[in-house]
Parts: sequence; structure tokens; C-alpha cells
Amino acid sequence: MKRLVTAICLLLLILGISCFSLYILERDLGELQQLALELRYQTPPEQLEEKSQQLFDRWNQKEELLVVFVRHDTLDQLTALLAELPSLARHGEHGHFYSEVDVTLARLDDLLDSARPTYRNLL
Amino acid sequence: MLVTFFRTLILYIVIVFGVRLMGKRQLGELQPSELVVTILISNIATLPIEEIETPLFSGLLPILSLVTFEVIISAINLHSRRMRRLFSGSPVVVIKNGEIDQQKLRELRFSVDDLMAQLRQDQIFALDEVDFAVVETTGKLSVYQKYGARTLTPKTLELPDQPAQNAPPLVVVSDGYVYSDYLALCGRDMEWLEGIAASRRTTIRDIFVMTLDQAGNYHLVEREVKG
Repeated sequence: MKRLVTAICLLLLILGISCFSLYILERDLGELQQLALELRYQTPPEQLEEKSQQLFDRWNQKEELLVVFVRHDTLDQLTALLAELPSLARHGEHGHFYSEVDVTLARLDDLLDSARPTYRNLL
Repeated sequence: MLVTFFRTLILYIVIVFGVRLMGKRQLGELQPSELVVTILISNIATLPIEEIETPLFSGLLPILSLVTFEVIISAINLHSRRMRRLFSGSPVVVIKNGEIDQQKLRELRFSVDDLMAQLRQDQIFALDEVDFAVVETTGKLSVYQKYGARTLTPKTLELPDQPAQNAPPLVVVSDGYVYSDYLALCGRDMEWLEGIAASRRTTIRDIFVMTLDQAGNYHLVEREVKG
């Protein structure tokens, strides 16, 4: 009986951690997506460098926790993408900058989508 | 490298905890569901050890989930015969009254060679010695021999029962450590043990192993002096 109670507690803990990880992903990636969308559509060109640096700093903060739940190579790819943005904005390569922001948005969306228990992910 | 070391250590602790949680059944003959869990755990555990790119949680979560499923399913099986049959199957009689049930053997995909091999493992070399044989849910063959082929026992010889001989000898001292529970089970105490050690001109700490039965018969081996 003690064994069964331990197993049920463990199962509840596992479900709790899984739900918590999904909540963290939704919250943090949602916030980053919002910042990236602002950068893509609402930021004037002269503020691109500052805003993209802010996005990169924010990403570095979020990554500290995401590293516990998400495969590290996926996070590394996003870090590499976001690290390029301030430099591209500084040198006025706006075409390249916006395409990199689009890739970042798509990667963030994929990451969030892959964590949700949808039928597509389950199957 | 240190990362791999610590990840391996964490996984080792978690898997040992998991196997302990699944219980002693897991260490003996495996039921089908237990076999599946064991294989899956051993495979899943290697991934986070080998790939430090994978979060440790990705390895721990499925391992602990499998362990909890196994414990919950075995608890359900304990109370539901139908679930037990679904997860573990049923024992199948393959020899009845000395006759081999060939149909059952075919259903189990059990060849005559398999049957003979299992019988030989039970020290039975002639089919006509078998009265009854059952393939258990673990795949092991349980055999009931014909009367004439059975091992001679005091009961068949109609010898008087000796209750004192029924209790097996227990290890009461191992490497100088006293198992007081077993000592009490044999109806003796520390004072008696110290007396025995003194009579052998030794101390309890210098006893390598000592067994004792309920009749008070003991066997004592002293620790070898390191030369």
C-alpha cells in the first residue's frame, strides 16, 4: 500500500512538473514572441539595435530556466540567431535582420508547438 | 566530463529507487509488463547519459512514469483477475495425466526441444516421469512428477515428524555483526551468544559467520587472522 501511495504521489509530481514546464514555456516564449513581433513590425529602424539587444538579454534570462526542459541544441540555435540581430541592425543590414527575426519567430513558434500535447505531437 | 559523471550518478540513483519501488518481483521472474518496463528503462536511461544536449528531465520523466505505471498496474492486477489475465496472461497446462497437449504447445509456440530443455532444468530427463506440467505466465515450466519418480521424503518413508528440524538455520552473526532479530527468532539472546563465543575462546567481533537453528544447533566459523 505504501508503495502504491508513493507511486501515485510520484505520478502527481510528474504531471505537476510537466504542466509547470508547459506553463513556463507558454509564458516565457509568449513574451519573447511578443518582443520579436514588436521588433519586426512596430520598431523604427533607429531603435532596432537597442530593441534587439533587449530581446537578446531577455532571451538569455529566460534560457536559464528553459535549459531544464528543452533540448540544448534547439536553445543554442535560437541563441545564435538572436545574438546576430544587434550587429545586423548596427550595420544597417535590414533585409537580413528582418529575415533573421522571421526565422526566430518561426523557431519560437515551433518550440512552443512541440511542447503542447496536441494530437500531431502525440502521433 | 563531470557533467556526464553527475548525470550518470543521478540516473543510477533514480533507477535504483525505481526498481526498489517496483519491488522484489522485478528482480526474479519477469511478467510481460515488467519485462517491457525493464527493457524500456534500460534504453531510456542511456540517452541522457550519452547526450548531454538532452535535458536530464527528459530521461527522468519517462523512467519515473514507467515505474509508477508498473506499480499502479500491479496494484490493479492484484485486485482484478480480468486485468491480471490481460496484462500477465494465464498459466497453461501442457502435460496432463502424463499426456502432452500438443495443441497447447503449438498455441504457445513451444517446441518439443523447448519442453525437454525446461524439463532437464528441473532434473527430469524422461517424459514418462511427468504427471502434470504448467507453463507459468513468466514462461517458466512448473512440473509435478509421477509418484514413482518423486524424490524420497521422510513422509513417504512414514518417519516421525521432527518439528525442530523444520526451521532452517539462520545467520545470527555475519562478519562480527549480530542479527539480533534472527537470534531472538531462534530463542536465544546476546548473553547466550557471548557465552558461546567465550567457550570458543573468541569474541563476537571475531566471528566470521555463525548459523543457528531453533533447536540450538549452531555452526561457527572464526575470522581468519591476517598473516
